[in-house]
Amino acid sequence: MKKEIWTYLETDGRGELVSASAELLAKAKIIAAAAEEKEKEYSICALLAGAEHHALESAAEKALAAGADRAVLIEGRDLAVYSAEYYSDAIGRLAENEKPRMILFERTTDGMELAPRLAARLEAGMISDCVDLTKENGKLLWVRHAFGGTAAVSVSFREQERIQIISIRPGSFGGAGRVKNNADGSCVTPDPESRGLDAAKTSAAIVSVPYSAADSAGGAGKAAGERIVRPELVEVLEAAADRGVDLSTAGVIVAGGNGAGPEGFKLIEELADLLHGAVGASRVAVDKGWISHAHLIGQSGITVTPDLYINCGISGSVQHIVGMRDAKCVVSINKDPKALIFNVSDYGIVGDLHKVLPALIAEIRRHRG
Amino acid sequence: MNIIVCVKQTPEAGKGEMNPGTGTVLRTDRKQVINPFDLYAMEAALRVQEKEPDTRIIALSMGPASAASVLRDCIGLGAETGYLVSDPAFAGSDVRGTAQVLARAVRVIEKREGIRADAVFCGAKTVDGGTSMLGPELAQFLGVPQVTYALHCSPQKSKDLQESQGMQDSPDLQESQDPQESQKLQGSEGLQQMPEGTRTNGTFLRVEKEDDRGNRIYCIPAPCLVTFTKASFQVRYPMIARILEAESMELPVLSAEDITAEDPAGDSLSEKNPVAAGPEAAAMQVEAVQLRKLDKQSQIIEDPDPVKAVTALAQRLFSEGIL
Ligand SMILES: Cc1cc2nc3c(=O)[nH]c(=O)nc-3n(C[C@H](O)[C@H](O)[C@H](O)COP(=O)(O)OP(=O)(O)OC[C@H]3O[C@@H](n4cnc5c(N)ncnc54)[C@H](O)[C@@H]3O)c2cc1C
Repeated sequence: MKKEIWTYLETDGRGELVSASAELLAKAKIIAAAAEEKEKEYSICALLAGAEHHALESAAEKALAAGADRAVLIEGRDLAVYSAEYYSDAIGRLAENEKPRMILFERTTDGMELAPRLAARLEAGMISDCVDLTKENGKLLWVRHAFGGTAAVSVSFREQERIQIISIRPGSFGGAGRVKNNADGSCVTPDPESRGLDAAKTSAAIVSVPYSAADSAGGAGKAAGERIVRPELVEVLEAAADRGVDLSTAGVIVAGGNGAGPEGFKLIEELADLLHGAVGASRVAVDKGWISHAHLIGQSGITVTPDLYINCGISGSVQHIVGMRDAKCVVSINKDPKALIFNVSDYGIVGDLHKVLPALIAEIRRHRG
Repeated sequence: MNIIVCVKQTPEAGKGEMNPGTGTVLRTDRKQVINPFDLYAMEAALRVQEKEPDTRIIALSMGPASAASVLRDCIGLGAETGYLVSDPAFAGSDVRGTAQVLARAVRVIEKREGIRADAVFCGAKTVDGGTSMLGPELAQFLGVPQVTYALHCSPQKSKDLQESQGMQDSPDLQESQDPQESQKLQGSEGLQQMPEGTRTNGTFLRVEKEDDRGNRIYCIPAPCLVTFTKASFQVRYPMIARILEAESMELPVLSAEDITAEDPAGDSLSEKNPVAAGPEAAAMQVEAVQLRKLDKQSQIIEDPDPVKAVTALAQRLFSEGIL
């Protein structure tokens, strides 16, 4: 039997995959091909967890259409609300029995904390925020960035017999599997029939496994039967209005910082719309409440790799640069000619963004006629 | 509450450098500071202490002898002491090994100080490796629940159901309020097993986690682990008097022997908490490190007339097909 590569997929709870998860299947294909050796082939299994059977099943169908060979639904009331504690236990238990070669996660808000907890539960090695994969002398080298993006580190797993846990940066692997978003933030996945999947084949490829936290089998840090405790989710605060554009996969980003102010952000949004791009922000702009955390670029936010990154009123702290230094073309607007951001820019204008941005918007409109 | 704050010595922002040949970090001539995210963990602990004055804060770090300086930083901020886990055998540990060692160190501290660690606080990530893995791995090895990327938290004596109003119609929450679960969440069982004199007031933390889909408020029962990200508030400055005091304090150092030989809880800790520290036992191997230099031509336009500046910029962007 083929060994499996598992992909942990997240859904919107209504039967749609989130876009990062749809991407993950494309990356899993690349990884499976790289890992393949003589008499060692890998098939891809989609892992979905939750309490709503129909929603999970419909997401699983989409995963099969997008490239998974099989889907496992881990189901139980304990999984109705995501928690790293129960989810890592559920996946860990299954993995101990079925021994996949690797388990892949997207480095989403959940994936970022679920994957390492699972790794510890399995006493497995893990690489986080992986951006690429190479092979040398038959050995897989996983690439990740460290030291504020100034170093690319290649890492290998030393224990070939153990399950390997890998979390992958959204938008990495050369943008493999980039998916289009629907207006509501869910993503467009291929039609099952395009893979020759009819209803019978699809349902045969989906299995369902029950989970209850009460009958935990232990794992590292827990004696068998010891109860697993999770935090209680009391409230979900409303995020400031989100424009439904995924920063990690956006081709154009217009970002604002402390120099922008609420008025500046109106201009920034206008320019972003004009360029069909997304809006980004520095930590100060987020901390001041001008824009939500989903737009934060840098060390405590996300890393972006757009073709064009226009920033306005951002000074260029190391914590910000780590998040945008891989943008292909960086254009900076700052009134301070000595601003550090200019050192990492292809183009810059020294000036007041409140004057420069309206002129730039007008110029682009004029150019387009 | 008794809070153990885990801190790491990292290169000062933007100044970390690697040895491309060996993949090790060149640290000799670099200023080493406390990992900035850990300062938010320390600040969170101090804010708990402001609300619950009998809170004990103990810093914990694993690293070379020089890492004692970040423990002294924590003492300067208000921690009562700092434990340094330092042993050549632990050098070159990967995250798994480090988390296993720290899990044991927490148990050793509990035994030596005669306390239960109600909460372990960490930075959400480090500025050097930046894996964000340590907190969740440590939580699992300690067998406690976790909240990651928290902005702030406050102690709570009981699970305040009023706070969770508005979520009452969520079926899952109602389910989790069944008598068995809430009894467990009150922590009564766990506390009864604690030796006399070690009970604490703070049984829960109310934590706000930063989340792109809308921040989440959690109520997490002690013992627990919380990792902190940068919050919008300024972290406090150390107190001069405390800095001076810290200079002359002798800090306990835990060796590999202390960590592996002591069976602090007197239970099957070794079984539940394996230790695979040091490079030989590591799960991961660094194979190569490449510097990623940025090579930007930086064409900067300075023109007092914004329209002229924009025209000049736009022409270049149009002609290169960028716009
Ligand atoms: C643990 C930690 C994590 C962090 N994580 C992040 C992160 O993820 N992302 C992040 O961005 N920061 C992060 N920071 C914060 C970071 O250190 C800086 O404070 C922040 O990036 C500065 O934001 P800024 O450039 O918008 O503001 P400032 O540094 O205040 O810069 C504002 C700039 O705007 C310019 N300006 C002002 N007015 C105008 C005008 N009218 N027209 C044009 N230019 C103008 C000024 O010249 C200045 O250069 C983190 C810090 C810590 C400690």
